[in-house]
Amino acid sequence: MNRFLAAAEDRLLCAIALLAPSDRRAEWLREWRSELWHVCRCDHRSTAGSVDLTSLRFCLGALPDALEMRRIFGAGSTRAPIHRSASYCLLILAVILAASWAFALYSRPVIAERHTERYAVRPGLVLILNAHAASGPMNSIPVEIYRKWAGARQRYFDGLAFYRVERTVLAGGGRAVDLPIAHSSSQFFSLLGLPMEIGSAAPSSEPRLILSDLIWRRDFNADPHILGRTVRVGERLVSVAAVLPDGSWRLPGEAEAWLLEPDNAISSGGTGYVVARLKPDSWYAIRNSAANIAACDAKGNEQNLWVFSFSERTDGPWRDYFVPVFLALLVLPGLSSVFLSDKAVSTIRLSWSLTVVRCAFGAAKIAMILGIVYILPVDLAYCSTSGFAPAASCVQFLLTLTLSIFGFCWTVDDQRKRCPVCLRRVTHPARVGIASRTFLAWNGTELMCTGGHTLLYIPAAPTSWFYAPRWVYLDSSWKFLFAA
Amino acid sequence: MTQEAKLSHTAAMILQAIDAGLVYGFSVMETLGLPSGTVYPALRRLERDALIRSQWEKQSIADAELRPPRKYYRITAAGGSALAAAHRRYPLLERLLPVEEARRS
Repeated sequence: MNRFLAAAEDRLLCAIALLAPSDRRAEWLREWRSELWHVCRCDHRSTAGSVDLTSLRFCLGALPDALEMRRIFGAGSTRAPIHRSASYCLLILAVILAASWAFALYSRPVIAERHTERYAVRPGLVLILNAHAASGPMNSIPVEIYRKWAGARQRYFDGLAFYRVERTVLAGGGRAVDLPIAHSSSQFFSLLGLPMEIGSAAPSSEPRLILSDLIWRRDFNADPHILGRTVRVGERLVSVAAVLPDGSWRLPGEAEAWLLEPDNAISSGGTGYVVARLKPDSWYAIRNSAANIAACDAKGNEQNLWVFSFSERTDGPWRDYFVPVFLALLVLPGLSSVFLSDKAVSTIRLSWSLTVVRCAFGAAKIAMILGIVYILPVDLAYCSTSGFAPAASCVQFLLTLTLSIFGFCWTVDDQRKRCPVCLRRVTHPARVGIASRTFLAWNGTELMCTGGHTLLYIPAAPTSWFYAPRWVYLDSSWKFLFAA
Repeated sequence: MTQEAKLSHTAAMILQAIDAGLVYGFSVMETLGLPSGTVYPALRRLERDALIRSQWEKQSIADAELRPPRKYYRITAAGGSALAAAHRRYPLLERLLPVEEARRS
Protein backbone atom coordinates (compact mmCIF):
# COMPACT_ATOMS: atom_id res chain seq x y z
CA MET A 1 0.00 0.00 0.00
CA ASN A 2 2.78 2.37 0.96
CA ARG A 3 4.66 1.53 -2.25
CA PHE A 4 1.56 2.31 -4.25
CA LEU A 5 1.11 5.64 -2.46
CA ALA A 6 4.77 6.52 -2.95
CA ALA A 7 4.40 5.93 -6.68
CA ALA A 8 1.21 8.02 -6.70
CA GLU A 9 3.00 10.86 -4.90
CA ASP A 10 5.79 10.74 -7.43
CA ARG A 11 3.26 10.89 -10.28
CA LEU A 12 1.57 13.80 -8.55
CA LEU A 13 4.87 15.68 -8.37
CA CYS A 14 5.49 14.92 -12.07
CA ALA A 15 2.06 16.25 -12.96
CA ILE A 16 2.51 19.41 -10.90
CA ALA A 17 5.95 19.88 -12.46
CA LEU A 18 4.21 20.60 -15.77
CA LEU A 19 3.15 23.92 -14.27
CA ALA A 20 6.74 24.94 -13.62
CA PRO A 21 8.70 26.74 -16.36
CA SER A 22 10.11 24.17 -18.77
CA ASP A 23 13.71 25.33 -18.42
CA ARG A 24 13.58 24.93 -14.61
CA ARG A 25 11.28 21.93 -14.44
CA ALA A 26 13.93 19.24 -14.09
CA GLU A 27 15.73 20.97 -11.25
CA TRP A 28 12.45 21.80 -9.52
CA LEU A 29 11.33 18.15 -9.69
CA ARG A 30 14.72 16.94 -8.49
CA GLU A 31 14.51 19.15 -5.37
CA TRP A 32 10.97 18.07 -4.53
CA ARG A 33 11.78 14.38 -4.99
CA SER A 34 14.81 14.74 -2.76
CA GLU A 35 12.85 16.54 -0.08
CA LEU A 36 10.05 13.97 -0.31
CA TRP A 37 12.56 11.19 0.32
CA HIS A 38 13.60 12.93 3.52
CA VAL A 39 10.01 13.56 4.56
CA CYS A 40 9.16 9.87 4.16
CA ARG A 41 12.26 8.77 6.07
CA CYS A 42 11.61 11.24 8.87
CA ASP A 43 8.00 10.13 9.24
CA HIS A 44 8.98 6.44 9.21
CA ARG A 45 11.10 7.19 12.25
CA SER A 46 8.21 8.77 14.11
CA THR A 47 4.86 7.07 13.60
CA ALA A 48 4.07 4.42 11.05
CA GLY A 49 0.38 5.31 10.82
CA SER A 50 0.69 8.92 9.65
CA VAL A 51 3.40 8.45 7.07
CA ASP A 52 1.36 8.63 3.91
CA LEU A 53 -0.86 11.49 4.99
CA THR A 54 2.10 13.69 5.94
CA SER A 55 4.00 13.01 2.74
CA LEU A 56 0.86 13.58 0.71
CA ARG A 57 0.29 16.93 2.45
CA PHE A 58 3.89 17.75 1.71
CA CYS A 59 3.41 16.92 -2.00
CA LEU A 60 0.35 19.14 -2.25
CA GLY A 61 2.56 22.05 -1.22
CA ALA A 62 4.33 21.60 -4.55
CA LEU A 63 1.35 23.11 -6.34
CA PRO A 64 1.69 26.68 -4.99
CA ASP A 65 5.44 26.36 -5.35
CA ALA A 66 5.18 25.45 -9.06
CA LEU A 67 2.76 28.31 -9.63
CA GLU A 68 5.12 30.68 -7.83
CA MET A 69 7.99 29.45 -10.00
CA ARG A 70 5.89 30.08 -13.07
CA ARG A 71 4.99 33.56 -11.87
CA ILE A 72 8.58 34.47 -11.08
CA PHE A 73 10.47 32.82 -13.93
CA GLY A 74 7.80 31.99 -16.50
CA ALA A 75 7.30 35.46 -18.00
CA GLY A 76 10.78 35.83 -19.32
CA SER A 77 11.65 32.33 -20.34
CA THR A 78 8.54 30.69 -21.73
CA ARG A 79 5.98 33.30 -22.67
CA ALA A 80 8.08 35.76 -24.62
CA PRO A 81 9.22 33.49 -27.46
CA ILE A 82 5.89 31.72 -27.89
CA HIS A 83 4.86 33.98 -30.75
CA ARG A 84 7.90 32.71 -32.65
CA SER A 85 7.13 29.04 -32.06
CA ALA A 86 5.87 26.66 -34.75
CA SER A 87 2.74 25.75 -32.80
CA TYR A 88 1.78 29.43 -32.47
CA CYS A 89 2.18 29.88 -36.23
CA LEU A 90 0.00 26.86 -36.97
CA LEU A 91 -2.54 28.02 -34.38
CA ILE A 92 -2.91 31.42 -36.07
CA LEU A 93 -3.37 29.80 -39.48
CA ALA A 94 -5.87 27.33 -38.03
CA VAL A 95 -7.87 30.16 -36.44
CA ILE A 96 -8.03 32.06 -39.75
CA LEU A 97 -9.03 28.88 -41.58
CA ALA A 98 -11.67 27.97 -38.98
CA ALA A 99 -13.13 31.50 -38.96
CA SER A 100 -13.35 31.52 -42.77
CA TRP A 101 -14.93 28.08 -42.75
CA ALA A 102 -17.42 29.04 -40.05
CA PHE A 103 -18.45 32.12 -42.02
CA ALA A 104 -18.84 30.01 -45.17
CA LEU A 105 -21.14 27.64 -43.28
CA TYR A 106 -23.53 30.36 -42.12
CA SER A 107 -23.54 32.87 -44.99
CA ARG A 108 -26.40 32.07 -47.41
CA PRO A 109 -24.80 33.57 -50.54
CA VAL A 110 -21.57 31.70 -49.84
CA ILE A 111 -23.48 28.44 -49.25
CA ALA A 112 -25.30 28.95 -52.54
CA GLU A 113 -22.01 29.52 -54.34
CA ARG A 114 -20.44 26.43 -52.80
CA HIS A 115 -23.43 24.20 -53.63
CA THR A 116 -23.78 24.97 -57.29
CA GLU A 117 -25.05 21.45 -57.96
CA ARG A 118 -28.43 22.73 -56.74
CA TYR A 119 -28.36 25.28 -59.52
CA ALA A 120 -28.42 22.92 -62.46
CA VAL A 121 -29.76 25.09 -65.28
CA ARG A 122 -29.71 23.80 -68.83
CA PRO A 123 -26.61 24.48 -70.91
CA GLY A 124 -26.70 27.35 -73.37
CA LEU A 125 -28.77 29.67 -71.19
CA VAL A 126 -27.96 33.38 -71.34
CA LEU A 127 -29.23 36.59 -69.78
CA ILE A 128 -29.81 39.47 -72.20
CA LEU A 129 -29.10 43.00 -71.00
CA ASN A 130 -29.26 46.38 -72.61
CA ALA A 131 -25.65 47.43 -73.20
CA HIS A 132 -26.36 50.94 -71.98
CA ALA A 133 -27.67 49.52 -68.73
CA ALA A 134 -24.87 47.03 -68.17
CA SER A 135 -23.34 49.13 -65.43
CA GLY A 136 -26.75 49.98 -63.90
CA PRO A 137 -29.89 47.97 -63.19
CA MET A 138 -30.03 44.70 -65.08
CA ASN A 139 -33.80 44.64 -65.61
CA SER A 140 -33.44 46.82 -68.66
CA ILE A 141 -35.58 45.15 -71.33
CA PRO A 142 -39.17 46.47 -71.75
CA VAL A 143 -41.84 43.78 -71.97
CA GLU A 144 -42.97 45.15 -75.35
CA ILE A 145 -39.50 44.51 -76.83
CA TYR A 146 -39.52 41.02 -75.38
CA ARG A 147 -42.93 40.30 -76.96
CA LYS A 148 -41.57 41.45 -80.30
CA TRP A 149 -38.52 39.19 -79.97
CA ALA A 150 -40.62 36.25 -78.83
CA GLY A 151 -42.92 36.62 -81.85
CA ALA A 152 -40.07 36.96 -84.39
CA ARG A 153 -37.90 34.26 -85.91
CA GLN A 154 -34.63 34.01 -83.98
CA ARG A 155 -31.26 33.29 -85.51
CA TYR A 156 -29.35 32.37 -82.34
CA PHE A 157 -32.04 31.46 -79.77
CA ASP A 158 -34.59 28.65 -79.62
CA GLY A 159 -36.35 29.84 -76.48
CA LEU A 160 -37.01 33.13 -74.70
CA ALA A 161 -38.62 33.98 -71.37
CA PHE A 162 -39.28 37.20 -69.48
CA TYR A 163 -39.64 37.99 -65.79
CA ARG A 164 -40.06 41.13 -63.75
CA VAL A 165 -39.79 41.25 -59.95
CA GLU A 166 -42.40 43.38 -58.15
CA ARG A 167 -43.45 43.52 -54.55
CA THR A 168 -46.94 42.04 -54.40
CA VAL A 169 -49.19 40.94 -51.57
CA LEU A 170 -49.57 37.16 -51.26
CA ALA A 171 -52.54 35.92 -49.21
CA GLY A 172 -53.50 32.35 -48.52
CA GLY A 173 -51.04 31.09 -45.98
CA GLY A 174 -52.95 32.28 -42.94
CA ARG A 175 -51.76 35.88 -43.26
CA ALA A 176 -51.12 38.31 -46.11
CA VAL A 177 -47.45 39.04 -46.75
CA ASP A 178 -45.79 41.57 -49.01
CA LEU A 179 -43.23 39.62 -51.07
CA PRO A 180 -40.95 40.16 -54.06
CA ILE A 181 -42.78 38.09 -56.70
CA ALA A 182 -41.43 37.47 -60.20
CA HIS A 183 -44.09 37.88 -62.88
CA SER A 184 -42.76 35.44 -65.44
CA SER A 185 -43.47 33.83 -68.76
CA SER A 186 -45.29 30.50 -68.44
CA GLN A 187 -42.37 28.62 -70.06
CA PHE A 188 -39.82 30.27 -67.75
CA PHE A 189 -38.93 27.29 -65.54
CA SER A 190 -39.13 24.75 -68.35
CA LEU A 191 -36.60 26.93 -70.20
CA LEU A 192 -34.32 27.03 -67.15
CA GLY A 193 -34.76 23.33 -66.51
CA LEU A 194 -34.60 23.72 -62.72
CA PRO A 195 -35.95 20.69 -60.83
CA MET A 196 -38.78 21.37 -58.39
CA GLU A 197 -38.92 20.21 -54.78
CA ILE A 198 -42.57 19.21 -55.20
CA GLY A 199 -44.92 19.72 -58.11
CA SER A 200 -44.22 20.71 -61.69
CA ALA A 201 -43.66 24.02 -63.48
CA ALA A 202 -44.57 22.82 -66.98
CA PRO A 203 -46.03 25.51 -69.29
CA SER A 204 -49.77 26.07 -69.00
CA SER A 205 -52.32 28.59 -70.25
CA GLU A 206 -53.57 29.16 -66.67
CA PRO A 207 -51.60 31.42 -64.30
CA ARG A 208 -49.84 29.42 -61.62
CA LEU A 209 -47.63 30.20 -58.65
CA ILE A 210 -44.27 28.69 -57.72
CA LEU A 211 -43.21 29.17 -54.09
CA SER A 212 -39.69 29.30 -52.74
CA ASP A 213 -38.73 26.74 -50.12
CA LEU A 214 -38.44 29.53 -47.53
CA ILE A 215 -41.98 30.84 -48.08
CA TRP A 216 -43.43 27.32 -48.25
CA ARG A 217 -41.93 26.48 -44.86
CA ARG A 218 -42.47 29.86 -43.19
CA ASP A 219 -45.96 30.86 -44.40
CA PHE A 220 -47.47 27.50 -45.35
CA ASN A 221 -45.89 25.36 -42.60
CA ALA A 222 -44.33 23.07 -45.22
CA ASP A 223 -47.79 21.74 -46.11
CA PRO A 224 -47.21 18.66 -48.34
CA HIS A 225 -50.67 19.15 -49.85
CA ILE A 226 -50.00 22.71 -50.99
CA LEU A 227 -50.19 21.80 -54.69
CA GLY A 228 -53.42 23.03 -56.24
CA ARG A 229 -54.30 25.33 -53.34
CA THR A 230 -55.73 28.66 -54.46
CA VAL A 231 -54.01 31.76 -53.13
CA ARG A 232 -54.41 35.47 -53.85
CA VAL A 233 -51.54 37.30 -55.57
CA GLY A 234 -52.44 40.98 -55.59
CA GLU A 235 -55.98 40.99 -56.95
CA ARG A 236 -55.74 37.65 -58.75
CA LEU A 237 -56.52 34.13 -57.64
CA VAL A 238 -53.95 31.57 -58.72
CA SER A 239 -53.15 27.98 -57.79
CA VAL A 240 -49.84 26.79 -56.35
CA ALA A 241 -48.09 24.54 -58.85
CA ALA A 242 -44.70 23.76 -57.33
CA VAL A 243 -42.09 24.57 -54.68
CA LEU A 244 -38.55 25.52 -55.74
CA PRO A 245 -35.75 23.95 -53.66
CA ASP A 246 -33.64 26.18 -51.42
CA GLY A 247 -30.60 27.66 -53.18
CA SER A 248 -31.92 27.01 -56.69
CA TRP A 249 -32.65 30.61 -57.60
CA ARG A 250 -29.48 32.41 -58.65
CA LEU A 251 -30.76 34.70 -61.37
CA PRO A 252 -30.76 38.48 -60.93
CA GLY A 253 -33.56 39.90 -58.81
CA GLU A 254 -34.41 38.52 -55.41
CA ALA A 255 -37.72 36.69 -55.69
CA GLU A 256 -39.59 34.54 -53.17
CA ALA A 257 -42.39 33.42 -55.49
CA TRP A 258 -42.91 33.23 -59.24
CA LEU A 259 -46.21 33.92 -60.98
CA LEU A 260 -46.19 32.05 -64.30
CA GLU A 261 -48.57 33.51 -66.87
CA PRO A 262 -48.78 33.76 -70.66
CA ASP A 263 -46.63 36.47 -72.23
CA ASN A 264 -49.62 38.54 -73.30
CA ALA A 265 -50.99 38.48 -69.73
CA ILE A 266 -47.88 40.12 -68.24
CA SER A 267 -48.82 43.71 -67.51
CA SER A 268 -47.29 46.25 -69.91
CA GLY A 269 -44.96 49.03 -68.83
CA GLY A 270 -41.73 48.77 -66.96
CA THR A 271 -38.69 46.69 -67.69
CA GLY A 272 -37.54 43.21 -66.75
CA TYR A 273 -35.08 40.44 -67.42
CA VAL A 274 -34.94 38.29 -70.53
CA VAL A 275 -33.53 34.77 -70.40
CA ALA A 276 -32.78 32.95 -73.65
CA ARG A 277 -31.50 29.57 -74.68
CA LEU A 278 -28.91 29.42 -77.43
CA LYS A 279 -29.34 27.01 -80.30
CA PRO A 280 -26.68 24.27 -80.06
CA ASP A 281 -25.03 25.51 -83.27
CA SER A 282 -24.79 29.02 -81.76
CA TRP A 283 -22.88 28.10 -78.61
CA TYR A 284 -19.66 29.11 -80.30
CA ALA A 285 -20.91 32.73 -80.20
CA ILE A 286 -20.65 32.79 -76.39
CA ARG A 287 -17.24 31.31 -75.81
CA ASN A 288 -16.50 33.59 -72.90
CA SER A 289 -18.79 34.59 -70.09
CA ALA A 290 -20.19 37.58 -72.00
CA ALA A 291 -20.68 38.72 -75.59
CA ASN A 292 -22.04 41.69 -77.44
CA ILE A 293 -24.96 41.30 -79.89
CA ALA A 294 -27.32 43.63 -81.74
CA ALA A 295 -31.13 43.52 -82.00
CA CYS A 296 -33.98 45.74 -83.17
CA ASP A 297 -36.16 47.61 -80.69
CA ALA A 298 -39.92 48.25 -80.98
CA LYS A 299 -39.35 51.07 -83.49
CA GLY A 300 -37.01 48.96 -85.64
CA ASN A 301 -33.85 50.74 -84.46
CA GLU A 302 -30.77 48.63 -83.84
CA GLN A 303 -29.64 48.45 -80.24
CA ASN A 304 -26.60 46.96 -78.56
CA LEU A 305 -27.14 44.14 -76.09
CA TRP A 306 -24.94 42.20 -73.69
CA VAL A 307 -25.35 38.47 -73.36
CA PHE A 308 -24.15 36.79 -70.16
CA SER A 309 -23.76 33.05 -70.02
CA PHE A 310 -25.25 31.16 -67.04
CA SER A 311 -23.53 27.88 -67.70
CA GLU A 312 -20.15 28.89 -66.32
CA ARG A 313 -21.81 30.21 -63.17
CA THR A 314 -22.71 26.61 -62.32
CA ASP A 315 -19.07 25.51 -62.11
CA GLY A 316 -18.75 26.66 -58.49
CA PRO A 317 -15.84 28.43 -56.81
CA TRP A 318 -13.27 25.83 -57.92
CA ARG A 319 -13.15 27.40 -61.38
CA ASP A 320 -11.68 30.61 -59.97
CA TYR A 321 -9.36 28.76 -57.57
CA PHE A 322 -7.02 26.50 -59.53
CA VAL A 323 -6.00 29.00 -62.19
CA PRO A 324 -4.89 31.82 -59.83
CA VAL A 325 -3.15 29.32 -57.53
CA PHE A 326 -1.27 27.93 -60.51
CA LEU A 327 -0.37 31.47 -61.62
CA ALA A 328 0.87 32.29 -58.12
CA LEU A 329 3.10 29.21 -58.17
CA LEU A 330 4.49 30.31 -61.52
CA VAL A 331 5.40 33.81 -60.34
CA LEU A 332 6.71 32.66 -56.94
CA PRO A 333 10.35 32.10 -58.02
CA GLY A 334 10.41 35.63 -59.42
CA LEU A 335 9.18 37.20 -56.19
CA SER A 336 10.97 35.19 -53.54
CA SER A 337 14.00 32.99 -53.32
CA VAL A 338 12.89 29.39 -53.12
CA PHE A 339 16.07 28.19 -51.37
CA LEU A 340 15.11 26.82 -48.00
CA SER A 341 18.47 27.27 -46.27
CA ASP A 342 19.22 23.62 -45.83
CA LYS A 343 22.91 24.24 -46.34
CA ALA A 344 24.84 24.19 -43.12
CA VAL A 345 28.44 25.31 -42.64
CA SER A 346 28.80 23.21 -39.49
CA THR A 347 29.65 19.54 -39.47
CA ILE A 348 26.68 18.75 -37.25
CA ARG A 349 24.06 16.66 -39.03
CA LEU A 350 20.42 16.94 -38.15
CA SER A 351 18.62 13.75 -37.20
CA TRP A 352 16.10 12.45 -39.70
CA SER A 353 13.29 12.96 -37.18
CA LEU A 354 14.01 16.72 -37.01
CA THR A 355 14.04 16.87 -40.80
CA VAL A 356 10.72 15.04 -40.97
CA VAL A 357 9.20 17.39 -38.39
CA ARG A 358 10.42 20.41 -40.32
CA CYS A 359 9.01 19.07 -43.59
CA ALA A 360 5.71 18.24 -41.87
CA PHE A 361 5.55 21.77 -40.48
CA GLY A 362 6.10 23.21 -43.97
CA ALA A 363 3.49 20.88 -45.45
CA ALA A 364 0.97 21.82 -42.76
CA LYS A 365 1.50 25.52 -43.49
CA ILE A 366 1.03 25.02 -47.22
CA ALA A 367 -2.12 22.94 -46.64
CA MET A 368 -3.62 25.63 -44.41
CA ILE A 369 -2.64 28.42 -46.81
CA LEU A 370 -4.32 26.52 -49.66
CA GLY A 371 -7.43 26.13 -47.51
CA ILE A 372 -7.49 29.81 -46.57
CA VAL A 373 -6.86 30.86 -50.17
CA TYR A 374 -9.86 28.77 -51.24
CA ILE A 375 -12.37 29.79 -48.56
CA LEU A 376 -11.52 33.40 -47.70
CA PRO A 377 -11.88 34.86 -51.24
CA VAL A 378 -15.25 33.09 -51.64
CA ASP A 379 -16.39 34.57 -48.32
CA LEU A 380 -15.27 38.07 -49.26
CA ALA A 381 -16.49 37.97 -52.86
CA TYR A 382 -19.92 36.48 -52.27
CA CYS A 383 -20.86 37.66 -48.77
CA SER A 384 -22.89 40.63 -50.04
CA THR A 385 -24.15 39.19 -53.33
CA SER A 386 -27.62 37.93 -54.06
CA GLY A 387 -27.63 35.17 -56.60
CA PHE A 388 -26.46 36.51 -59.94
CA ALA A 389 -23.17 38.37 -59.48
CA PRO A 390 -20.80 38.35 -62.46
CA ALA A 391 -18.44 40.78 -60.70
CA ALA A 392 -18.08 38.47 -57.69
CA SER A 393 -16.34 35.90 -59.84
CA CYS A 394 -13.72 38.48 -60.88
CA VAL A 395 -13.31 39.60 -57.26
CA GLN A 396 -12.81 35.99 -56.18
CA PHE A 397 -10.23 35.45 -58.91
CA LEU A 398 -8.24 38.56 -57.98
CA LEU A 399 -8.43 37.85 -54.24
CA THR A 400 -7.35 34.25 -54.76
CA LEU A 401 -4.42 35.36 -56.89
CA THR A 402 -3.35 38.05 -54.41
CA LEU A 403 -3.71 35.83 -51.35
CA SER A 404 -1.94 32.96 -53.10
CA ILE A 405 1.06 35.11 -54.01
CA PHE A 406 1.35 36.61 -50.52
CA GLY A 407 0.62 33.27 -48.85
CA PHE A 408 3.23 31.31 -50.81
CA CYS A 409 5.87 34.06 -50.42
CA TRP A 410 5.22 34.17 -46.68
CA THR A 411 5.33 30.37 -46.39
CA VAL A 412 8.71 30.14 -48.11
CA ASP A 413 10.14 33.10 -46.19
CA ASP A 414 8.84 31.78 -42.86
CA GLN A 415 10.14 28.28 -43.53
CA ARG A 416 13.53 29.68 -44.47
CA LYS A 417 13.76 31.56 -41.17
CA ARG A 418 12.74 28.68 -38.90
CA CYS A 419 15.49 27.11 -36.82
CA PRO A 420 15.90 23.52 -38.11
CA VAL A 421 16.26 22.27 -34.52
CA CYS A 422 13.35 23.87 -32.64
CA LEU A 423 11.37 25.48 -35.53
CA ARG A 424 11.39 28.84 -33.74
CA ARG A 425 11.63 31.82 -36.07
CA VAL A 426 15.12 33.32 -35.95
CA THR A 427 15.33 36.91 -34.82
CA HIS A 428 17.63 39.78 -33.79
CA PRO A 429 18.97 40.56 -37.29
CA ALA A 430 22.47 42.05 -37.35
CA ARG A 431 24.29 43.50 -40.34
CA VAL A 432 27.73 41.97 -40.78
CA GLY A 433 30.39 43.23 -43.22
CA ILE A 434 30.28 46.11 -45.65
CA ALA A 435 28.91 46.20 -49.17
CA SER A 436 32.17 47.32 -50.81
CA ARG A 437 33.88 44.14 -49.63
CA THR A 438 31.25 41.68 -50.79
CA PHE A 439 33.74 39.76 -52.95
CA LEU A 440 36.51 39.84 -50.36
CA ALA A 441 34.71 39.02 -47.16
CA TRP A 442 31.34 38.00 -45.90
CA ASN A 443 28.62 40.65 -46.17
CA GLY A 444 25.05 40.09 -45.15
CA THR A 445 22.61 39.66 -42.28
CA GLU A 446 22.96 37.35 -39.33
CA LEU A 447 19.93 36.11 -37.39
CA MET A 448 19.85 33.88 -34.36
CA CYS A 449 17.55 31.35 -32.76
CA THR A 450 16.41 32.49 -29.32
CA GLY A 451 16.72 28.89 -28.17
CA GLY A 452 20.46 29.06 -28.78
CA HIS A 453 20.52 26.33 -31.43
CA THR A 454 21.51 28.07 -34.64
CA LEU A 455 22.64 31.20 -36.48
CA LEU A 456 21.36 32.00 -39.96
CA TYR A 457 23.54 33.86 -42.47
CA ILE A 458 21.78 35.55 -45.37
CA PRO A 459 24.10 37.08 -47.99
CA ALA A 460 23.32 40.67 -48.99
CA ALA A 461 24.34 39.97 -52.58
CA PRO A 462 24.37 36.35 -53.77
CA THR A 463 27.76 35.31 -55.09
CA SER A 464 28.98 32.12 -56.71
CA TRP A 465 30.48 30.98 -53.41
CA PHE A 466 27.64 32.13 -51.18
CA TYR A 467 24.30 32.40 -52.94
CA ALA A 468 21.88 30.75 -50.53
CA PRO A 469 21.34 31.34 -46.78
CA ARG A 470 23.33 29.05 -44.50
CA TRP A 471 22.79 27.69 -41.02
CA VAL A 472 25.45 27.48 -38.34
CA TYR A 473 24.63 25.05 -35.54
CA LEU A 474 25.80 26.26 -32.14
CA ASP A 475 27.46 23.84 -29.74
CA SER A 476 27.15 23.78 -25.97
CA SER A 477 29.79 26.50 -25.50
CA TRP A 478 27.12 29.04 -26.57
CA LYS A 479 24.61 27.94 -23.91
CA PHE A 480 25.61 30.57 -21.37
CA LEU A 481 24.56 33.33 -23.75
CA PHE A 482 21.01 32.02 -23.90
CA ALA A 483 20.57 31.11 -20.25
CA ALA A 484 17.39 32.57 -18.77
CA MET B 1 15.92 49.31 1.36
CA THR B 2 13.21 48.28 -0.99
CA GLN B 3 13.85 44.61 -0.26
CA GLU B 4 13.70 45.24 3.48
CA ALA B 5 10.33 46.91 3.18
CA LYS B 6 8.94 43.89 1.29
CA LEU B 7 10.01 41.27 3.82
CA SER B 8 6.95 39.82 5.49
CA HIS B 9 6.98 38.24 8.94
CA THR B 10 6.94 34.72 7.44
CA ALA B 11 9.74 35.56 5.03
CA ALA B 12 11.71 37.10 7.90
CA MET B 13 11.20 33.90 9.95
CA ILE B 14 12.43 31.72 7.08
CA LEU B 15 15.41 34.02 6.53
CA GLN B 16 16.16 33.83 10.25
CA ALA B 17 15.92 30.01 10.09
CA ILE B 18 18.35 29.83 7.19
CA ASP B 19 20.72 32.19 8.98
CA ALA B 20 20.43 29.96 12.01
CA GLY B 21 21.73 27.02 9.98
CA LEU B 22 18.57 25.31 8.84
CA VAL B 23 19.71 25.12 5.25
CA TYR B 24 17.15 22.71 3.74
CA GLY B 25 13.52 23.45 2.93
CA PHE B 26 12.19 20.52 4.92
CA SER B 27 14.22 21.41 8.03
CA VAL B 28 12.80 24.95 7.86
CA MET B 29 9.33 23.45 7.65
CA GLU B 30 9.88 21.18 10.61
CA THR B 31 11.37 23.86 12.84
CA LEU B 32 8.93 26.66 12.05
CA GLY B 33 5.87 24.40 11.70
CA LEU B 34 4.99 25.95 8.36
CA PRO B 35 3.48 23.92 5.48
CA SER B 36 5.50 23.15 2.37
CA GLY B 37 3.16 25.31 0.30
CA THR B 38 4.35 28.32 2.30
CA VAL B 39 8.03 27.59 2.79
CA TYR B 40 9.13 26.66 -0.74
CA PRO B 41 7.42 29.56 -2.56
CA ALA B 42 8.93 31.91 0.05
CA LEU B 43 12.36 30.41 -0.65
CA ARG B 44 11.86 31.13 -4.38
CA ARG B 45 11.04 34.76 -3.66
CA LEU B 46 13.98 35.18 -1.29
CA GLU B 47 16.29 33.67 -3.91
CA ARG B 48 14.81 35.88 -6.62
CA ASP B 49 15.54 38.94 -4.45
CA ALA B 50 19.11 37.65 -3.92
CA LEU B 51 18.64 37.43 -0.14
CA ILE B 52 19.59 33.77 -0.23
CA ARG B 53 21.36 31.58 -2.75
CA SER B 54 20.94 27.88 -3.38
CA GLN B 55 23.44 25.18 -4.18
CA TRP B 56 23.18 21.46 -4.80
CA GLU B 57 24.97 19.16 -2.42
CA LYS B 58 27.83 17.16 -3.93
CA GLN B 59 26.69 13.83 -5.31
CA SER B 60 29.57 12.02 -3.59
CA ILE B 61 28.40 13.14 -0.15
CA ALA B 62 24.85 12.00 -0.87
CA ASP B 63 26.07 8.69 -2.27
CA ALA B 64 28.16 8.06 0.82
CA GLU B 65 25.05 8.47 2.97
CA LEU B 66 22.86 6.45 0.58
CA ARG B 67 20.36 9.24 -0.05
CA PRO B 68 19.53 11.67 -2.83
CA PRO B 69 21.46 14.95 -2.89
CA ARG B 70 19.73 17.95 -1.36
CA LYS B 71 19.54 21.54 -2.36
CA TYR B 72 20.67 23.79 0.44
CA TYR B 73 20.29 27.51 0.96
CA ARG B 74 22.71 30.13 2.29
CA ILE B 75 22.01 33.67 3.31
CA THR B 76 23.76 36.37 1.24
CA ALA B 77 25.18 39.73 2.34
CA ALA B 78 22.02 41.44 1.13
CA GLY B 79 20.04 38.85 3.06
CA GLY B 80 22.04 39.64 6.19
CA SER B 81 21.19 43.32 5.88
CA ALA B 82 17.55 42.51 5.28
CA LEU B 83 17.51 40.24 8.31
CA ALA B 84 19.05 42.97 10.48
CA ALA B 85 16.32 45.33 9.36
CA ALA B 86 13.73 42.62 10.05
CA HIS B 87 15.06 42.27 13.59
CA ARG B 88 14.42 45.95 14.13
CA ARG B 89 10.96 45.61 12.69
CA TYR B 90 10.09 42.33 14.47
CA PRO B 91 11.93 42.46 17.83
CA LEU B 92 10.72 39.00 18.92
CA LEU B 93 12.15 37.31 15.83
CA GLU B 94 15.52 36.60 17.45
CA ARG B 95 13.84 35.11 20.51
CA LEU B 96 11.63 32.94 18.34
CA LEU B 97 14.58 31.12 16.84
CA PRO B 98 17.96 31.98 18.38
CA VAL B 99 20.85 31.15 16.11
CA GLU B 100 22.81 29.15 18.69
CA GLU B 101 19.79 27.09 19.71
CA ALA B 102 18.89 26.32 16.12
CA ARG B 103 22.41 25.25 15.32
CA ARG B 104 22.40 22.91 18.33
CA SER B 105 19.17 21.31 17.08
